[in-house]
Amino acid sequence: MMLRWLLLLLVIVSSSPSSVPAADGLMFEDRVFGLLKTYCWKCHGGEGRQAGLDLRSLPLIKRGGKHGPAVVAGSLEKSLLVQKLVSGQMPPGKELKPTAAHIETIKAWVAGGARARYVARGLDEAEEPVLEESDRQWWAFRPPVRADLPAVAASSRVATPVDTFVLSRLEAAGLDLAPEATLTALVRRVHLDVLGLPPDPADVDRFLADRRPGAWTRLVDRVLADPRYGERWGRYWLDVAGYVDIIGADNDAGGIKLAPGVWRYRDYVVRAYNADKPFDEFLVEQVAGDELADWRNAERLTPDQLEQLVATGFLRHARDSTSSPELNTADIRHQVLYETLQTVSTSLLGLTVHCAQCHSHKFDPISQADYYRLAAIFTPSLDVQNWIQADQRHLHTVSPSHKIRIDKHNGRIDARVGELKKRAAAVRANVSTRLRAVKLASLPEPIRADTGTAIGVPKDKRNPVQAYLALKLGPLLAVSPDEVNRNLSAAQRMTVTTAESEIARLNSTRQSYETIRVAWETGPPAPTYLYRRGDYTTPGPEVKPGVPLILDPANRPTSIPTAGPGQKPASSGRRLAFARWLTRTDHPVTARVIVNRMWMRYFGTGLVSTPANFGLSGTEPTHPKLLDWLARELVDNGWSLKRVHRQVLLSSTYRQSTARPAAEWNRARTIDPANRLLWHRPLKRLESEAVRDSVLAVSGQIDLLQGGAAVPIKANSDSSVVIDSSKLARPGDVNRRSLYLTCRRNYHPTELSVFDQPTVANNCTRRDSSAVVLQSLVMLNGSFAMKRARRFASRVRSETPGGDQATRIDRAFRLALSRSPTEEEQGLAIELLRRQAVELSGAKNTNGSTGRPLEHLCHMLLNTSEFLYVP
Amino acid sequence: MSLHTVPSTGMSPVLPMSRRRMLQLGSLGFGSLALKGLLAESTARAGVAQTPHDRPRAKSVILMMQNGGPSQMDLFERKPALEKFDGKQHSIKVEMFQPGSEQNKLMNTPFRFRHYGASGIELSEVIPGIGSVIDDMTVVRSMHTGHNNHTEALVMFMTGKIFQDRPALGAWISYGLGTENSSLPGYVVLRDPSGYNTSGTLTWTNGWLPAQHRGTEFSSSGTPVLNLKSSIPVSANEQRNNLDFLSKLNRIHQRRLPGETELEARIQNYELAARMQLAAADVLDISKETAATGKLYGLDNKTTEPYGRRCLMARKLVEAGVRFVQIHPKPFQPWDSHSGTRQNLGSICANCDLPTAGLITDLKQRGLLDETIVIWSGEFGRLPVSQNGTGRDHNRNAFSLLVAGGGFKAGYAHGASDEVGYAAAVDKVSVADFHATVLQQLGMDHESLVYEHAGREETLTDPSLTGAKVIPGLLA
Repeated sequence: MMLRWLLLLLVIVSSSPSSVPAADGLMFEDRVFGLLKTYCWKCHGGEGRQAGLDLRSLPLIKRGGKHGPAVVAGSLEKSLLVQKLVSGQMPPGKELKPTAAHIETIKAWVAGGARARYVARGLDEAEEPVLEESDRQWWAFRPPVRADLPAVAASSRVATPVDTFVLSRLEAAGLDLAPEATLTALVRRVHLDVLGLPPDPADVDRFLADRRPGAWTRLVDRVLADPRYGERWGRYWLDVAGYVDIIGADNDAGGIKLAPGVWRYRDYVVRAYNADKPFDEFLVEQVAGDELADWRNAERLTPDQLEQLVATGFLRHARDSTSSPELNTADIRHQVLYETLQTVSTSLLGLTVHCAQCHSHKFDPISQADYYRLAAIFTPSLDVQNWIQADQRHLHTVSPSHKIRIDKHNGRIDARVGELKKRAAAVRANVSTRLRAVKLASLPEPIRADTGTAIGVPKDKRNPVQAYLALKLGPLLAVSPDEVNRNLSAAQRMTVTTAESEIARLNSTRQSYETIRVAWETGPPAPTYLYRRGDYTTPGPEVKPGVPLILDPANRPTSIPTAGPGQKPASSGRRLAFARWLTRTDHPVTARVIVNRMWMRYFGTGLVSTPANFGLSGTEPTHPKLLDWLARELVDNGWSLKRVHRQVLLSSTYRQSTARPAAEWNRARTIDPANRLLWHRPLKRLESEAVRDSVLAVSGQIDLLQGGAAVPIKANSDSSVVIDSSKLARPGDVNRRSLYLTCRRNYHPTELSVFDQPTVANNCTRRDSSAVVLQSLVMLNGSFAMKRARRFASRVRSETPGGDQATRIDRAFRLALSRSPTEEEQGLAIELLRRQAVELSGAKNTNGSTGRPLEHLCHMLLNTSEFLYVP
Repeated sequence: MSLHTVPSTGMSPVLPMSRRRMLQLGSLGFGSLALKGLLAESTARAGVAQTPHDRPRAKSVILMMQNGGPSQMDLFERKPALEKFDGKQHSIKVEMFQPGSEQNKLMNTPFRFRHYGASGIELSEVIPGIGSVIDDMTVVRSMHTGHNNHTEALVMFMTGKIFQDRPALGAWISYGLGTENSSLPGYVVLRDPSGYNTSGTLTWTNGWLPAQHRGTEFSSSGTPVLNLKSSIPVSANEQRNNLDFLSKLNRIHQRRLPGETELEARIQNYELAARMQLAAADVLDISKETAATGKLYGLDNKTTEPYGRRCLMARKLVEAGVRFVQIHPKPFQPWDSHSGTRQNLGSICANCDLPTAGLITDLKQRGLLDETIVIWSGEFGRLPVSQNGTGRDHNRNAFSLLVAGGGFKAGYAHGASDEVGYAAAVDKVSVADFHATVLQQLGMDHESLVYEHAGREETLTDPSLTGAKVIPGLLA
C-alpha cells in the first residue's frame, strides 16, 4: 500500500499539467468562450445565427457573418466583435451588457493573437475511423441476394418458397413442421393476425363451407383486402414512427397537450397500407414528401400534394418541449434533432446510430462523422438556430398562397360583417336611447337630469350620489333587447333584418383550413458541424450531408446535394436524395428491415431477433436466405407489402399448429428450445389494441368508423386512464378501435397499458408481452370488460331468438372463440348457468347483483386464455 | 450432488397455495426446478439446506434501486487524496465512457464528510438521514461491475449479466421462495408514477423464468392496484362460480399446450387476483398509519413525500409477506451527474435520504429489519476525475452500496477502493458475489437455485463463469 501511494504521489507531482494557459496570452477556451456564450450566443451561436454569424468556435468567429470576419487576429480596429462591444451597439437593446472588464478580456484575447487550443482542421481518425474489410463483410451491409430454393424432403409441405427455407433448416436439425392447425383455428388466426379482430361466426362458416380448392387463398385475399388490415398493420408502422397525438414530453398525467392535425398522418398510414402503396413510395413520401412537389408556389394543393406533405408527419414525433419558452433552448432543440435521427435510423436503417453522436460507435462501423452527415440531411428542416417552436411548427391543409387568399377573403367578410353589425347596432342604439328617454321622463323632475347623468357616467367614476341613483333607478331605466325589437319602426326593422340576414349569408361563405404537422425546410440550410463529444457548444469540422459509409457500396459518401433541384431555393432536396438512396433496389437494409418486422409480427420473433439493430451488436438472422428471399420478393415486385404477406400467409409454416404431441414436443425442445427453427407455431398473446378491439367486436358494439381526430381520453385521480365521454364528437366514439384513441407517450387507457401498450419515449421497435395479475384484474373487475360482457350477453340473446340454453352457449362460444364448445365445455357452461341462476334467484341475491347468468358466462369467455392468444 | 427434480403435479389448482406448491406449479415439469438444498424455512428446518445457517436469516428483500450511478466518493467513501490533489492529473488514465474527462484531472468532492453514529462511519454531509441509521447498515465500498453504460450495468445489477433477457434478482427470489402471502404477488415494483427509470421494465423482468415471477407494478399514487374490486356488484359466490368455470376452461386449453409456461401464469393470476381483492386493499392503505410514522418517512413534506410514500408501502408489503419489493426514485436516471455534482446530488438526496432512514428505522422498530434485507444501490459508480468541470463520468470499476438487515452486519464498512476511488481495491465484492450472499441470507444456495433453460441449468450467479462466492465478511 505504502509503496503504491508513494508512486502515485510521485506521478502526480512530476506530471506537468497540459492545460495551463500559455504565458503570453489568453486562449479562446479560457474565458472568451464563456463570455461569448453568455452575451452573444442567443443570437449568434446556440440558438441563433443572425446576420449569418456564429460565435461558437474560433474558425467560425474568424469566418464571421455577412458583415465580414468578427475577429481579425491582432487588430482591435478590424475586429467587428470588439468594435460592436466597445460601442455598446452589441448586445443590443435591453440584453445583458458585458462589464468593462469583460470587454477588456476579449480585447486582450484579440490583441494577443486570438488563439484557441482546439482548431478544427478536418475529420480525424477518431471521428472517421477507417472501415475494416471485415466490417464490410457483415451480412447486413451487403445487398440481399435471392438464393436458389433449397431442396427439402418434406416436399408435400411446401406451399410457398418460404417453406423450403424453413424446412431446410428444420430438416438439417432433424426436425419438421408441426401438423396443420384446424380450419377453425386458422380462420381465427388469420383474422387476428391480419385484421386484429376475431372473425364473425359468419366469416368462420363461409370459410368452412368453402370446399373448393384454394379456399385458404381466397380467405387470405379477402382479409388482405379488408380495410381493417390497414388499421392493424398501420398501427405497427405507427409504433416504429413513434406516433403520438400530443406535443412535448407528456410528463404530466393531467395535462394533455394535443397536437392538432397529427391524426392526418395516422390516417395517411392506414390508407397507404390499405391501398398497398409501394413501400418505396411510402418511405419517400414520409421522409421527403415536402420535397416531391412545389407546394410552396402552388395556387392550390392537389390532393396528392397534401397527402405527400401529411406523410412527413413521420418526422414529427420526437419529444419537442420547445413550446414552453423556458424549454426553447439550444440543448432541447438539439435533442429533438437527435431523437428524430434515432427514429429514422432504428425504423428505416435497422441501426443504432445514436452512440455516434458523442463518439464513433464502439461496436458498429458507424463513425461520428457518419452521424453528423446523417444529421446534415435533417438539419435544414430542424434548424436549431432558426427554430420554430413545437406548437407553431405546422403548415395547413391549403397551400401558403391559398391560405393568404382565404385569410384575405375571410378578412373581407370580417370587415363587411363588422360594418353590418355596426349599422344594426346603431339603429338599435337609437331606439334604445329614445326608450330610455321616455322612461327617464317618467321620473320626478328634481332627480331626472341627475339620474340621466349618473347612468351616463362609467361605473367606477360615479360619485356617491350618482352611484346611489344608478343603483336604485338604473334597473327601472334599463332597456332590454326585446323592448328594442318591439319598438323598431318598419324602416328600422328592415335595416336590422337585412343586415342580419346578410351577416348570416356572409358567414356561410367563409372558407377554412386546418393545421397539418409536417416537416419542411424553414430557410436556407446552415452548415452542419460535427460536435466534439456530442456537445453543441464545441462545434468541430463542418460535414456535408451523407449516409453512413458502411451502407454505401461505393466506399465513399453517397452524394447528397447540399441544394437540389425542384424547389430552389426553398428546399435543399437533401431528404429527397436520402429517400431515393434508401429505396434503391440494391439497398442492403431497407427491405430486410421491413420484411423482418413483418415476420416478427407473425411469429413473435423476427428472423433477426433485434429488429432495430442489424449491426454487429445485434443478432444474426436465423434464416439469412429466407430473409433475403423475402426482401427481394418485396423489391422485385414493386415493393408490394401485400405480396410478402401472401407469401407468408399461404405457407405451411404459417399454417402449422401451435401444439404438438408431447413426445414430439419434448424431442424438438431438446434440439431447439427457443423454437427459432419454427417446429411449431409460436403462441402469441394479442397486443393491447387487439385485446380491447376484440372485446368490442364480440360485444357487437365496435364502431368501425375509420379516421379522423383522436378520441379524447383523460387521466383520473386514481391513476386510471379512460375515454373522456364528456368530450366525444359522437357517442359511438367510445367504441372506436384503439388505434383512434388519443395516443400519449406515458398515459394510455388502462385497458391498453396493462396489456403492454408501449411507452413512447422515442419509438417502439418491439413490443413486450407480459402476463401480470393486473391484466386479470382489468378483465375480471374493470368496467370496460364487465359492461361489454353484458352487451355480449344481449347480443347472444338477440341472435338466438327462441333458442334453448345449449343454443345460447354455442352462440356465445362461437362469438368469443370462433368455435363451438366441446361436450365437456358445454357441460361446464350449463353448470355455471345453473349455479349462477341459484345465486341470482331472489332469496339468495342480497348483494344487489343485477347480472344474469348468461352475462357471467359471456364475461368469463372474454377472460379465457383462449380469447387472449392467437390460436 | 444429485439433482432432485420436482415432478409435475398435475393441473388441479389448490388453494391456498403453500410455498412449495407454488414452486411445483412454477416448474410444472418443464423448465424443471432443481432443488439442491434451496428451500427456505420448512425444508431448511428439515435439514435440507446446505448453507452455513441452520435457517434463513431473512425472508424478504427491499431493493431501493438508485439508478444513474451514485457517486461513491461524494457519498460513501471519503478520499483525502482527492482533497489533496484536486485539479491535478491522475496518474492512471481512467477508462472514460463519455467524453469530457480527457484531461484526467482529479476532482475533490464538493461535500464535507462526517463521522456518523456510534460506529463513526464517515459519510457525506449530503446524506444525514442515512448517516443517522448507519449503525444499522453495512456500507460496501469495494463493489465493481461489468459495464459503463446504464442499461447494461442496470441489467447486470438486476440479472447478473449485461445481456438482456435474463431474470431479475426479484424474479429469482420470487421463483425460489414464492410469496409468503398467497394474496399478493411475490415481486412488487413501486416506481415514480410520472415515468419509468432508464431501462424501464427490463429491471423487473422474469426473463425466461415463468411469467408470474415478473415484477408487478403497484401505483404509489391514487389507487394502489386498479380494478381490485368488481366495478359492477358481484357476490363472492358468483365470483367463485365464475372463477371455477374459468379455471376449468383454461385448464382444458392448457392441456393442448403444456409447454407454454405463460398459460400457467395466467391461470395463477386469476386465483391471485381473487385473493388480492381481499388482501391488497388493506395492505396498501397507508391512510391508517400514524402521523408519527408518516413523519418518519417524510410524508409531511412535499420534497420527500413521493419517495417516502413508496418506502412506507414497501414496509407494508414486506410486512404482509411480499418477497421482493423494488423501489425507484424519480424517473430516468436521477443519480447521473455528468456535471453539477453538488446541485444534482443535493436535489436527489433531498428527495430520498430522509425516507430511506425512515424505512430502516421503521423496520427496526417493528422488529422486521432482522428478516428483511434492505439494499440501496446504483448500477455503477463514478470516476475520481472531473467531467465538464463539475461532474463525473460512469465508472464500473468501483461503486459503493448499502445493505441492512437480514443478518448483514450493522454499523460496518466493508472493503475500500483505491486511494482516489477509481477501482475496488480491498476486499472486492462483485455483483455476483453480492447476489450469492443475498440468496444465502434468504436460505438459498446460489449454486443450487437453478432453472433449466435452453438445455442448460441456469443460475442467477453463474459461478463457473463469474466465480461468484458468498462474502462471509458482510455477515453478522
